[in-house]
Amino acid sequence: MTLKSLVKSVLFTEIMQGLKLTFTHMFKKKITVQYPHQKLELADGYRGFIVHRRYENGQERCVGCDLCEAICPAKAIRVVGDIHPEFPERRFAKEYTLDFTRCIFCGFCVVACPVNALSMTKEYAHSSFTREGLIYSKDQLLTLGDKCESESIAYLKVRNMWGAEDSGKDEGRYHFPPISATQSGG
Amino acid sequence: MDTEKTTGVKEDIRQKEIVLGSLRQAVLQNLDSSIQTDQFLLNMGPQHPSTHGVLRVLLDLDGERIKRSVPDLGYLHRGTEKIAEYRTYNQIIPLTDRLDYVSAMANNYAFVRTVEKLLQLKVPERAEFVRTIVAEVQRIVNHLFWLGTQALDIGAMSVFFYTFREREELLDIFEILCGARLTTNYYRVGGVESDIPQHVVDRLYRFIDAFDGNIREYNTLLETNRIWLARTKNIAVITAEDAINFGLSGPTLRGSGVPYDLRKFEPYGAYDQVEFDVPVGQNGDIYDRYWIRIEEMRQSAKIVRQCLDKLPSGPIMTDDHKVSFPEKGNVMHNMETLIHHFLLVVHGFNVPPGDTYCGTETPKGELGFYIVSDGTGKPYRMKIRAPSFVNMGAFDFMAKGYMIADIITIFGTYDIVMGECDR
Repeated sequence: MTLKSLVKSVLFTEIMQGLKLTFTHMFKKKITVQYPHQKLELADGYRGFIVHRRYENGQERCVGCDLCEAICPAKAIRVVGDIHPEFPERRFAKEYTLDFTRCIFCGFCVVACPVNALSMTKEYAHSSFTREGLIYSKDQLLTLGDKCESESIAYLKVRNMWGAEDSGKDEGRYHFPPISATQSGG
Repeated sequence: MDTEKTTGVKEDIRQKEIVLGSLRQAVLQNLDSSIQTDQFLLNMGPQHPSTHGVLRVLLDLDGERIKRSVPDLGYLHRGTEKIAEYRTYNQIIPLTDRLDYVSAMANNYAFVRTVEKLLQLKVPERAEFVRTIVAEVQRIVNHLFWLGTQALDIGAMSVFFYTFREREELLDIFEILCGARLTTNYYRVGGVESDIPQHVVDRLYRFIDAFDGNIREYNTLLETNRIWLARTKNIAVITAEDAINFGLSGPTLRGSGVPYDLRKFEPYGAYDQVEFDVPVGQNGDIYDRYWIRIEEMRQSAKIVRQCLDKLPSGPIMTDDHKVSFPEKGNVMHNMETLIHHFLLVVHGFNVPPGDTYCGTETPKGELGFYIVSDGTGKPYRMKIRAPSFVNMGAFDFMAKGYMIADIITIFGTYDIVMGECDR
């Protein structure tokens, strides 16, 4: 053992170097976030809670086509489609339940939806004391959708699903089947 | 690999073999000569903070030395392989996220590559580059996570904070790319889900520029620290021959001096267009495997930089519309597209009958998917060759003769993730 290494081993120089590094970090910018009081800005297109969307006139978009149920890898969605009571040429989801205890937030249901009725938001901290509390009905999903409308639109824009909405072609918006202007009030 | 290279490597391995063999012999002799006490069976786990999940090990002890250790796997078994038989190929991609949940992107990549091999699908060039960039970023994320937790297990707590600081930055980038931080679901058969925007490219450049300094920071805390060295040097030594016989892969194999890396031997993605080295160890101990992962992070940063420099423009999804989802705008306007969309969602795309195996170099080792297709939209059988599971086979061999406190370090050195191990 050379003298230099002996001095090093007696003085614990490597531990001192480590302590010096951690000490300098006391004067650097803090990177921690005080979570419940201070929240991080999430990116647009964050795959949070799934919501139902409406057209501008307040009509719900969902046509009960079952595609989200078919593509869901976790089998979290259940759809029962039926003929709309007011417009006989139109279909809608009589029952729609989304089980967030099963949902894996993969975003495939939004990809599958042919009328952009589904979207995802930046909501992530919904919790419940019961299992039933996390099984959302269509009304709950619509209410959540109204609350987070801008987020759901931003999601669709980031994921390149907004093209048809901005194209200005009216028939593209109400395709399933086309609804005339007089009927759209309902 | 050409024959000249092979013989060179073989000779190299044989040389190391002699040194490592004698080292291992000494440890085992030490075991035999110690005082024989009654057999002591110790149950460790499944609820133990250092087992990185739910791993149970039965330890047969002689005093404080390990005579035998039997890993008891299966606590996190979710039947992914069986579920996959009832899902279309697209639906399986989010399931693979949950295999090795620390590096979900790498699992996605391994799976979509296998399906593409069955389909004989050509992926656009930009998609290949984006895939390579994301896979290498995932490698850095995984190794940062490993370094933090391994140091934390041994007792060096501050490294954990520094590695997680960088990991956070990269996970934010994943969040922009795909909307999630861990369960990414980003790769698609025939490309990737969304394009890499310019501000992410700039952010990645900034990260790589600062990353070398960050690695030096971790090294200041660990590399010369005598506690770290005492806990890692000459622990869990495995020779190259044994490592090959046990079927180890990834850094665990390369630590013993075998330069086996699928990115070099069977280049995929954009790996044949970038320059990088495969770091190999000499002693096959925990310190060497630590050093290899540190070096791999540097190489990954190098690969990401080269890929960002060369990033071509163009589509990110294949134009084969039998496989890729049609554009949403067309679905809403065009009846033919809508019918096709319905078919893709409900039935999936058909894969020609046949079977294939495709291995991908993930951060943990060689992750392989073996898929048997009967020509329908769902796989007839899917087998996952998980590196953590195969590496676990050598656990008893590697732990034999070492102290009970080293068990924690030996768990860590595999970089084991139980989600992948139990599948």
